[in-house]
Amino acid sequence: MSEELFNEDERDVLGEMVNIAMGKAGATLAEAFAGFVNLRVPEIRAVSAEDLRETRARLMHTYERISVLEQEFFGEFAGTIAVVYGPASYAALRQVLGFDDRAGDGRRQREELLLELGNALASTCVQEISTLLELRTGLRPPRVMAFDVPTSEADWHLFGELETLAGQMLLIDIVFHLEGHEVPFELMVTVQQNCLPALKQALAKRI
Amino acid sequence: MIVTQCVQNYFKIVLRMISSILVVDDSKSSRKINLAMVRELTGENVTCLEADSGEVALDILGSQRVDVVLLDLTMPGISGFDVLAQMRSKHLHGRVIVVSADIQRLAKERVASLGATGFIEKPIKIEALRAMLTQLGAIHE
Repeated sequence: MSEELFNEDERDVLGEMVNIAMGKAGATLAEAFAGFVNLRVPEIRAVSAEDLRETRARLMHTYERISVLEQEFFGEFAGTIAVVYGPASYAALRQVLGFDDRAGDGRRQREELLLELGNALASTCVQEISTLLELRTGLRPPRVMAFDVPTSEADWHLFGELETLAGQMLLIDIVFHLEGHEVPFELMVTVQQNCLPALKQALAKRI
Repeated sequence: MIVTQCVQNYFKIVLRMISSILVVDDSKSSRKINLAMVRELTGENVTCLEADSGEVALDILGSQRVDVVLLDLTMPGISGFDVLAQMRSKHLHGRVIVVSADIQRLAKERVASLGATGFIEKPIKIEALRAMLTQLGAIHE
């Protein structure tokens, strides 16, 4: 995160809030899989349009195909959260939960599964951050933006501001690794630029 | 009168047993909160130390006696799980209370199996810390 958006103390407090939210979301994921999720320190940074392009390129390099669930949140703490599933994370989901998607409408079943788990992860994460920072927020219904498509073809709102973004926005990147499967589940949160003053105020109260 | 003196002496002995507490967390704000709570609960009886990483914590634990460790789990470099494992393998002294946002059931089971005495979920509440330090004899009600 650059100095232009947050000072060291603000970064530290925000990092801790995100850490707590990540812990709750991680516990949700662990429960869904009846397994253990390795948590790593989340990455929080101010990004420019160029940084977002690099992030998108990194995702294309990491995941050949991708499924993406997005959920917008609004209010004092507003932005977009995306849950990113690579092919391996979906395979792990199928293996651990033991369903057979060859029968019936497999696609719908898979989409519902991604939607359900993604919604649980995204809402836990956003609501926990907003509660800790005492910023009011609401969540719009989640949407499957991409379902098992080549990553380059995925349609993301998260990167929608790429072409119009002036200055920097806040990007929070959380990666969960499901133990025993070496499968990453990635949560990416962007926070709208017009929320940053309220966010900074909320952080200042906790320094 | 004699009984009262005996009780007072007992608590003095117990308090002497816990003379230092090490707070380990990569977050400066978390260390600040944890240290403030420890000082609030223990007064001047206990020496407070801090470490901003698992590496620094192990250095401190290897070089001086620490009675109680408040240990974060999710840290860059050496994690809290690794600190616990190394404390065990190196026979380092100190009873560990994990203070973490990693609230998975398995995380709690793992730290217990690695020798942690207790687990407090983040964000830390002073009553949870009071109960844990009371259990360890660092403070008394």
